[in-house]
Amino acid sequence: MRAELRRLLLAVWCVSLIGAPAVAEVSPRHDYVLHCSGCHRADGTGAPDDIPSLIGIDRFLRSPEGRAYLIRAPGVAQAPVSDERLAALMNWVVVEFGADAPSPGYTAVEVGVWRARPLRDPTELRARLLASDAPSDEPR
Amino acid sequence: MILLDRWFEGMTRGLARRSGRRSFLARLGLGLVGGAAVPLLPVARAAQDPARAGAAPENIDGPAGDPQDCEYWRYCAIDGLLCSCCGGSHTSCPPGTEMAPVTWVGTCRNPADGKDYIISYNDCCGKTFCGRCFCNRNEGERPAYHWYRNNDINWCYGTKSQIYHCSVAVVLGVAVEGQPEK
Amino acid sequence: MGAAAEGDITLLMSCFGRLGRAVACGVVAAALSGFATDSVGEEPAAASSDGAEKWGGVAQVPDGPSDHRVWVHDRVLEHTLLFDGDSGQMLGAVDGASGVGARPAYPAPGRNELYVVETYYSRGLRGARTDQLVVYDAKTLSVRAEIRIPNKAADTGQGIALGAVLDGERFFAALNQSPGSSVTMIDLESRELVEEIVTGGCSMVYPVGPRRFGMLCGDGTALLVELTEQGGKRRAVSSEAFFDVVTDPVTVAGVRDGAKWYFASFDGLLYEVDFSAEKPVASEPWSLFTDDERGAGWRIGGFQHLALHRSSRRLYSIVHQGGTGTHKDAGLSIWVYDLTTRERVMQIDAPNVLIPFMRPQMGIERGSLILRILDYVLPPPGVHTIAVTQDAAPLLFARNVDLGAVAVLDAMSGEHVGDLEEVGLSGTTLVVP
Ligand code: HEC
Repeated sequence: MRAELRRLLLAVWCVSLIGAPAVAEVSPRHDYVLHCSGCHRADGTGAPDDIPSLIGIDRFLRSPEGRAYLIRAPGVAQAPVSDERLAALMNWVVVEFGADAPSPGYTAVEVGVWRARPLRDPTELRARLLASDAPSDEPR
Repeated sequence: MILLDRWFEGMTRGLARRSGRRSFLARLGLGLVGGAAVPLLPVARAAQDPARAGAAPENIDGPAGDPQDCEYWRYCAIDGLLCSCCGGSHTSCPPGTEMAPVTWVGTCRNPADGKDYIISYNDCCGKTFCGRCFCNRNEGERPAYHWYRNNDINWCYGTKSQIYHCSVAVVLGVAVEGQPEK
Repeated sequence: MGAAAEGDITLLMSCFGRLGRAVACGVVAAALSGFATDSVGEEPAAASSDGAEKWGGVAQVPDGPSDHRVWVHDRVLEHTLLFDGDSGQMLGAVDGASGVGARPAYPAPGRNELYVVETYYSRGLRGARTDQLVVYDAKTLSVRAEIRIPNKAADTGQGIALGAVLDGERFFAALNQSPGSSVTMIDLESRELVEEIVTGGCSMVYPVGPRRFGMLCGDGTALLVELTEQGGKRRAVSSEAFFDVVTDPVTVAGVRDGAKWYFASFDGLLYEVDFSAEKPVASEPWSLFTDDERGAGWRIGGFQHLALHRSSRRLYSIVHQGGTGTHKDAGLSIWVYDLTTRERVMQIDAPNVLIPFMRPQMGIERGSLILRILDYVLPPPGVHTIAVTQDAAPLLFARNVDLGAVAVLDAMSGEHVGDLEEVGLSGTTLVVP
């Protein structure tokens, strides 16, 4: 399971280098307001204890697993939008509430792969990702 | 006979047409008291009758809408008690309550201009059920596992108290299209 | 119906003003309106030689045939009442503290206990929040224990699947939604909290074994959570996606047959989800409606809108005619299906629950002409919630969430055989122990 995940992480990372980052057909801000702002609030700050703040969200991009986490988080993976729109939305979210744009940007293909792998325990993975600030041995 | 007529009218308007939409409290007034129900009935109905609702503001973001009426366009997926009947308005909470910062968001079509608007259904929290203008509409509503669009949940999250009082419907902007669940 | 009735009303009205204290108030109201005057299950107190009756008697829930009992929840008065479906008598009550929705009582007959998930505040409606699982003795209906759980218990108006006693009655699973979702596991034996299992993107709790429960998820899958001996999480496995949340989602009001749960979609497709294997598997759905019926706008709807009588494999479904977005509307009809042949075997007109709701309020005699006239002229409001007993001569209970009465039907013939009156003000659930 673990090894399989690693292989997948690598493969997706390779693909993401080739594919063009998603460009929005509908303004990502619009999709954010409609699908995300109810919980994470318009300014991304969330609510203490209940909803994590999206400020500084780019910190998860340091590892491939973190990059995948941002798509597999249930609120993201299960958003009622196409892979294209979700990729565009997430590229926007990372810049809007974080600092660095994802590099390379999320593509529809990558998003499609991750959202099909449901993350049922986001709390555990999140804690692990935040704990391991050490640079990952996998390619960036 | 007038009494029976009124009774009947209230029944057909409130109950038979779309059961579950109207106030259970108003209906309680209806049924509870039998003979005494009839005097209560006009009170229950005043809320539906713009002419009698006193503060029926006109042209709120579009058609001559009555924010004390469950049929008001922006309540298309609200499930709760209308703050506009409880001392607040369709966009503000009644005195002494707190608006939950966390909520769910959907779209409703405004018949005045045919456009879809993004609506935020925030709950006002910190006092018990206001008990007036119960309204349950479910256009585009989804079960609890699709949390983006569920109106059964008590959305008093991020507030000091999780006691539910009533709900507002705030326009966040024009939608480029209706929410996908429509 | 004079001053006394008005007294009732003022009293009930003042209940609304102070919901938190509605319990005390409800008891008084109940006493006033007369349903608590006969202590059920108690021998009449023997009068002493001077004619005074024995003071201080407290009844217990009577033993004896209990196949036809039902727990009726009230979200406004915040309690759950136990009724006998044959006699229409109320047998007792348990409380359930503040919340907008269903806080039903979950029975565990083997333990002779009931459980209620409670949220309360240190100063009534203000102050620090405390969530707990309250353990009631099923016979005395007094509290045996209180078990602290995380302050996240789900508060929603929908359904009985917010918690479950797992098979074998060792564990209770309580749903949290904050709004991230998780399940709190409680050991009923040791009366201790086991752990909180995070179940991101999934909701509701469907028991399928002593150490297994299912959930429904926002990506159109079902989740099976398997527990360790101690009731902690062993693993969680998803099914393949079998429904579409956007176009035609299933409702959370499933019905159970062993390790299988049946779920109906808004458009009336019935799915059977089998949780008995390693991984949950959903069957190909079949339609509760013919194309013609669907064309005529027939849809499922309500709250607890399905009921299953297991031994006869009869599925009861509340139906109405309406458009999209009417999935919580009441239905005027209950259609009955044979799950084996997948055929509709009966159509029942939902009784007019306005009549038993109004009768005691208006002081009209049971069976009187005026009542029959009212039944004839008043349009029925329909029903939102049904439940069926599991014995060989089953009763079907039906309620409209906003009316304080429950209709009782012979589940086999569909005949309306009685009513439970004065069951409260509003509630979405009915639980058959
Ligand atoms: C119903 C409320 C809700 C909605 C709607 C929602 N989220 Fe979330 N989100 C959460 C919660 C709660 C978490 C914490 C993890 C969990 O329990 O799922 C979270 C976690 C996240 C995370 C991980 C952040 C971290 O610090 O771990 C990201 C990124 C995110 N959400 C983005 C989004 C985006 C983008 C959308 C819209 C497409 C969205 N969410 C919609 C509630 C929501």
